[in-house]
Amino acid sequence: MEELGNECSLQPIGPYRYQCIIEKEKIRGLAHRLSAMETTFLLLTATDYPDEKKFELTYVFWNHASKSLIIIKTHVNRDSPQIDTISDLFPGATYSEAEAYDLVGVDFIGNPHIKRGIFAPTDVVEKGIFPLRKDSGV
Amino acid sequence: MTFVEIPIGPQHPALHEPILLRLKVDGEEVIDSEISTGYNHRGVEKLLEKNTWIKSIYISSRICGICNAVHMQTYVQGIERLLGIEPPPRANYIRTIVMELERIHSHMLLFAVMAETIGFDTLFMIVMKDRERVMYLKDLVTGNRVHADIHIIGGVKRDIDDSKKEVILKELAYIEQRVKDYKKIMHEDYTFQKRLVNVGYVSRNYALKNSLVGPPARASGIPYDIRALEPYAAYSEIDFRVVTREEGDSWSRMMVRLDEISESIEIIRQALSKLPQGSIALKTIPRVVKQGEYISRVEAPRGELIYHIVSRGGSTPYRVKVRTPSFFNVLNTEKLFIGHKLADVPVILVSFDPCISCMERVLLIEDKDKPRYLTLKQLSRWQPK
Repeated sequence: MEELGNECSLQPIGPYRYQCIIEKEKIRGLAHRLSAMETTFLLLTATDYPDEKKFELTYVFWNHASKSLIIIKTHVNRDSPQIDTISDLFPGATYSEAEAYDLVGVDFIGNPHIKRGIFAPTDVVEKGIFPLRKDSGV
Repeated sequence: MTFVEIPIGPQHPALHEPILLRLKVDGEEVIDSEISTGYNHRGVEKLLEKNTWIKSIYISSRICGICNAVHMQTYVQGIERLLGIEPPPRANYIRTIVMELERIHSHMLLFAVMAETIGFDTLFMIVMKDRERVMYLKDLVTGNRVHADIHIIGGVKRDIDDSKKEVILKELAYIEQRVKDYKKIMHEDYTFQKRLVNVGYVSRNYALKNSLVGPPARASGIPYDIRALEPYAAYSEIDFRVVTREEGDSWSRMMVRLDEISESIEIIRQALSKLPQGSIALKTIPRVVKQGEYISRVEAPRGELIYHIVSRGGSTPYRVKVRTPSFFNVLNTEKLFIGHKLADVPVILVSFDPCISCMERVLLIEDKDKPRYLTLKQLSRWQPK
């Protein structure tokens, strides 16, 4: 785990589970280090917190060498929800990012599959609703 | 370059669920492929947020008909962690038995579907007839043939007695013999060899980079099995082998599944012999789920299933993110069809065990402004815009 360096200090949150919270600008640097460590991308959750005016992004990776789960949390502003993509470093994340955009509305800069209507039905897309936001009225 | 674009699906005899493959072909060879989804609109993630903790357990098991018990296990296990409780050992063993029965019938179903896809319909019928015995066992243990619904927070609903044990062991002996026959067919049958060997090759590196899980990853030499890596239910007390192969083609993915059936039979036998005495559910459970979150992982028949459950202390979950194995195994393999013959496309797709209902669980089911009520007559005449 030392390879992750100063950018993120992993805190143990359970057996073989580590978590760290970083600023959104650091995600690419961290993904670079992770991709060099035989790590697999597992999950991306976007959660809406309207009262705190932010979206929380939870990236989950599996490290095959240490057999541990690495959970990276970052936050983006609700007014300009943008973050760099990691889909070029982890191709497995491509559709997870596309799903987070289609349903929650977080824009992943550089992901070629970012578009509406991959998962959401057309009538929702036409109205500009992101269904998994808390204020979507769904 | 001239090419022809061929759509396979959304409704197609070779595919059992709605998904659209847009293929560009030059003669018989596929030169580009793209997967279109969105034909199963179900809105489950939103539905889970809108319902109470107890109700949402039953919704979660309806995400998938085939692997419903593992969906329930993942969700219930996550809630139990948030509540800080642990089910009694006997309940854990019964959960394990139900989930392994599910793995057996899921793999048998896929084997039957693969036989049908390559035109071996007789084998399809034979396997489906054998699978019915496993469905009977599931009915015997859980009371339901398809949807087990045996999990409750802090335990299970039904117990296993000695007479049930006897029937399970007897039927498993039969299934074990049949699986040996299936493996023989896989090795010796000309059609299986011709249609599956060296078709849809996935390298170890490709599987790692594209996050493939379950049998597709294990058939490419990655021993990734949550039952062994992060044991849940009673798996930590059971001795079993993680099946892996090195070939990485469609044939090896099917063989991994058949070997896993044999392992599952062994797991059930061990679980039945070790079945601890005691109660099957906790007498009291806390009524309020505290603030917190948990990432719950379970090895479903198709691969790793993850629920990310976020609680803010209310009567309903704040956010539930469901990551099903098919989401990666289907979407991240869309370019694998390139270079293969058009006739190989259904074989490759089936070898990944696509579960479209699992994959597309996240959409809107109701529009508040405009509720839609259609009579049967209107529905029969309904046309998309």
